[in-house]
Amino acid sequence: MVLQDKLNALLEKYQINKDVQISSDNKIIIDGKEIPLLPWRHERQFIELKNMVRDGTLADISTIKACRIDKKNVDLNHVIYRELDLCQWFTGSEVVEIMAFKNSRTANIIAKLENGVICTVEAAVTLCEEAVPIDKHEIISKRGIACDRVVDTQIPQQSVYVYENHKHPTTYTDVDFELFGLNAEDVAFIRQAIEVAKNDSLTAELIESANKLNQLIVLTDLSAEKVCNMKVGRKE
Amino acid sequence: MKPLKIAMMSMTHGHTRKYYQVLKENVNLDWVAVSTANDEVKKLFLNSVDNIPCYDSDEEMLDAHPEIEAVIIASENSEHLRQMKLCAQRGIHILSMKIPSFDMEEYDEMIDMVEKNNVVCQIELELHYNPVVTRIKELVKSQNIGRILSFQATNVTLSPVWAFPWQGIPEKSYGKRIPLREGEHRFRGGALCDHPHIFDLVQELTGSEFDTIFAQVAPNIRPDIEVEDMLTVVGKMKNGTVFSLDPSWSKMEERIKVPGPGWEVFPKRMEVNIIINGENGTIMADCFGPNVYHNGAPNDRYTVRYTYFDEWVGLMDEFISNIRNHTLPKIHLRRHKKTIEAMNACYESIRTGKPVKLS
Repeated sequence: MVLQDKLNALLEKYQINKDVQISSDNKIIIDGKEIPLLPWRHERQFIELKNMVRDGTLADISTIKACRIDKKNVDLNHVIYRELDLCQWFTGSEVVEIMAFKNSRTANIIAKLENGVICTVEAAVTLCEEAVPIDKHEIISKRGIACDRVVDTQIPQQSVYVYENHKHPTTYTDVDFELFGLNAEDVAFIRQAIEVAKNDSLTAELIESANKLNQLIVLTDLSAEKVCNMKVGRKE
Repeated sequence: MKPLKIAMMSMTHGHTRKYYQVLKENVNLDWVAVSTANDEVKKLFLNSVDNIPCYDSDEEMLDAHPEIEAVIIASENSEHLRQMKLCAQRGIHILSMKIPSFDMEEYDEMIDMVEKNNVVCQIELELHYNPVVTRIKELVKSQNIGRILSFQATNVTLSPVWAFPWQGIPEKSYGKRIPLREGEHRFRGGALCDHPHIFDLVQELTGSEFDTIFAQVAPNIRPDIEVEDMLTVVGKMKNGTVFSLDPSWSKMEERIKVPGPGWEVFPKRMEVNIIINGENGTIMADCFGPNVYHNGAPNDRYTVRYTYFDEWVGLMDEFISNIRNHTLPKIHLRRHKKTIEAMNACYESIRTGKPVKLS
């Protein structure tokens, strides 16, 4: 309800006259039509990584490394879906070949993009339900490296640490003034929902991307099952 | 204990200078002599260490010092077999650098030679004497995270080829000039050959052997070298653990001839990070640190200054003990063969574009 309320408030504030309802599993319904979202594309660190690819801060990309360790109750394929989308979205190039090794709650994957960039996706759903997911994204190019984690650290930094009467501090990372109180992932969801409501062409782009990602997930399962690297769009 | 009379050969390996302090300070070692492969490394050695006789050839040194009991073979990979023969035939114990050979016939010849001559041959995989790795081993053994599901590790560094040119020459690093794949302008012998540690650790920490390996080489970030500098490896162990290994030279460096301050372009010159996901949790570890950070001399560039552990202390203690007590080194030739086979499987996977099943 909180998310729907926040979404409604922004729709009203910016006079977007559409009925936008939050559905399940990263989907929204706009005027009766269900649309899949890829909300991580609206997370600030990912926008900036993509900007660095686009504006020449990085040049001649060699490798993209994506790692995410999520909670046990999350679907492993959902983590892979997110990370593969980021790899493609950063460079605007699609996966043409994929090799996956999987077991019950972990997967290690190499994907080759059409532009020759090699991507690794290290995914796991092994954390307890109270944990905050851990992730890291690194783009390595001839010109330099960009990463969403601080050099010489392993886990995400937080903006605020409160040391009280507990063994561990309470932490806060607030990223949006208008949506104050929401975590970064929820903020990204609302921001993308608003963008979709404003921009019809984004709807088509998201639907096409989601369909292709679903096909990639099928290929990762096939690759792991057959222990064979799979070419996208070709039956092995 | 009677101090072990020890010498070093060639002095061209990147780890050469790591031994100076321990050879001087360990009371169970008596550093007798060195032989240098060329005038350049001879000059560097003479500027770094006093009062150790320095010879221009290995044979000359061994003939002049029949008292030598053990030798650290600190040379390029292509010299290892010849120098091992020199030592083993004289009954001299051997500390080998991390890659004895990538040629499996040569490798088997080394095993035969060492066993026939009853000498100790210990392989330098210094991470086994690193306190963080020791902690990881304890944590895995405690089984608090349950059965291991996946293992991920980086062993990423800057490229040493400007300071140690042999590491960019396929014949000296890999032992032969073999294109990465048909039509490729790059050859075997680069970053992969520099980073065996994580291939060893995945076996050690999972208690299992390699089942399947798939590797992809990425575009070089140093287009002017003729060996690979960026690659990535995934696969499965025989017990079902899936792994992902990054042995790249992904940290850019200044092209200086002698390693030292200012080598880094990327702030951090080296990293070995390990993630182990288990059924009941996850271990994340950085094998080096805590470190300090500065933007001072020589380049005023933000830099991670390592506060190195001295893995070479524990490594040499074990080497001395193995010789004096006639025990098999933890990392011996037969054990290490599986690591070298896995690294060769990576090259084979890159060549064929397919996963490689190990026997």
